[in-house]
Amino acid sequence: MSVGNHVRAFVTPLRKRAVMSLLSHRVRARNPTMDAHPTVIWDYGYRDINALEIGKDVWIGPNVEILVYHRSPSSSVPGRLILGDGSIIALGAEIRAAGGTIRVGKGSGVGQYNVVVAANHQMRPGEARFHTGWDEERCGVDIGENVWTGAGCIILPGTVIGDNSVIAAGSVVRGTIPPGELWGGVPAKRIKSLGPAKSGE
Amino acid sequence: MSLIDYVSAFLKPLKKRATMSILAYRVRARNRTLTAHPTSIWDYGYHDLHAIEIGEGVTVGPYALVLVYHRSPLSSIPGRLIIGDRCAISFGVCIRAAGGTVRIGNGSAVAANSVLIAANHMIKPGEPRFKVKWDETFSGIEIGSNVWVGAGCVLLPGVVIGDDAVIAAGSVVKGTVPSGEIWGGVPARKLRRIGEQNAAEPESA
Repeated sequence: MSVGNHVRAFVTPLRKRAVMSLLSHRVRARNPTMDAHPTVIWDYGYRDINALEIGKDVWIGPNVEILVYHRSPSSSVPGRLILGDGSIIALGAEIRAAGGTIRVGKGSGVGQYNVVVAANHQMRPGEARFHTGWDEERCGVDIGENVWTGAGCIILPGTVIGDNSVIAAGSVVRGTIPPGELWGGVPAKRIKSLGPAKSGE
Repeated sequence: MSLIDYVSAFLKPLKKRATMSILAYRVRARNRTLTAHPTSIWDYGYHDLHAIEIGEGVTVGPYALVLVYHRSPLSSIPGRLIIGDRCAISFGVCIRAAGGTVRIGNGSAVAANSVLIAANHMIKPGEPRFKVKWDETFSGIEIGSNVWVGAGCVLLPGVVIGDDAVIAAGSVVKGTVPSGEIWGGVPARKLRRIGEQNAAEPESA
């Protein structure tokens, strides 16, 4: 091992931490009503802060990673993140808004250790899977208002969740979930209706 | 509470953080092309660095935990971790290479919040489960090349996954997955072969 390797091993994480702090600071400065834990990792292109639209009074818990790549060589679909007013991202969630738009509606909560992914790798036989473009047909995640996804859910690209719906803990969600229903399981299926929304909700 | 308690409560996490930094530093210095996020945690015996073999261009994401115990009082099988070239270990992944070898082939990826465990506790009635030896009959995890393990998967000890296979998100895998197939569910079963169209099931992330 050369001296260069040692210097690099020492400096690289420090540099990366400095970049992390800077990106996190910029988001905080722009969104003063947001309450994001100091351990939240913000990862986005320095010039792409406009791709993060964060509403009022958003709460983001510890050890969350929020990644927004507005442009990516792997997809022609831009990455965007829209967090509605009063939405919540709980402990350890990963939000990957690259190759599609992730929207979390007003007052919705993304549960602990959820993984929300905007674009997938493609599965074609005989290709190096991770070095080809992402799937551009089924991309983006749209979570409505007042939705609650339980702990440990995985929300796959192309998912649309209607207003007031609830996803049970540990579910894997794909496709469209109508408003006002409880869905759960791997893959998620309809469990029951949650009844008509009360007025004012 | 004595003054000592206050001092140790203050010092303990600092000491642990210092150890973490040194272990991560040693792995980085040894693997020049490794991109390990500053928040990734590397846990191994100081003299067991050789039990971690990392190929070229590997990335390890934020809050990932890579634990390699080459020797353990609870198992006679050595712990080893072998990661191939251009592998990606994503956000929050837990790799526990203790009591078995975890091997990941070239160009494979393990997506967010997945858990790979090389050895399990034994389930025998009336024994203190976490104090007795680990299971030595099912141990180690072998993942082929160009494999995609979806988000939130749990790979149990003894799992073998063939080349080009895909494990759907949120699966719990036990046993052997043949190459070129998509498996998913709890417990994971075959969904289809890659290239076949049968879009009723979720895919990875």
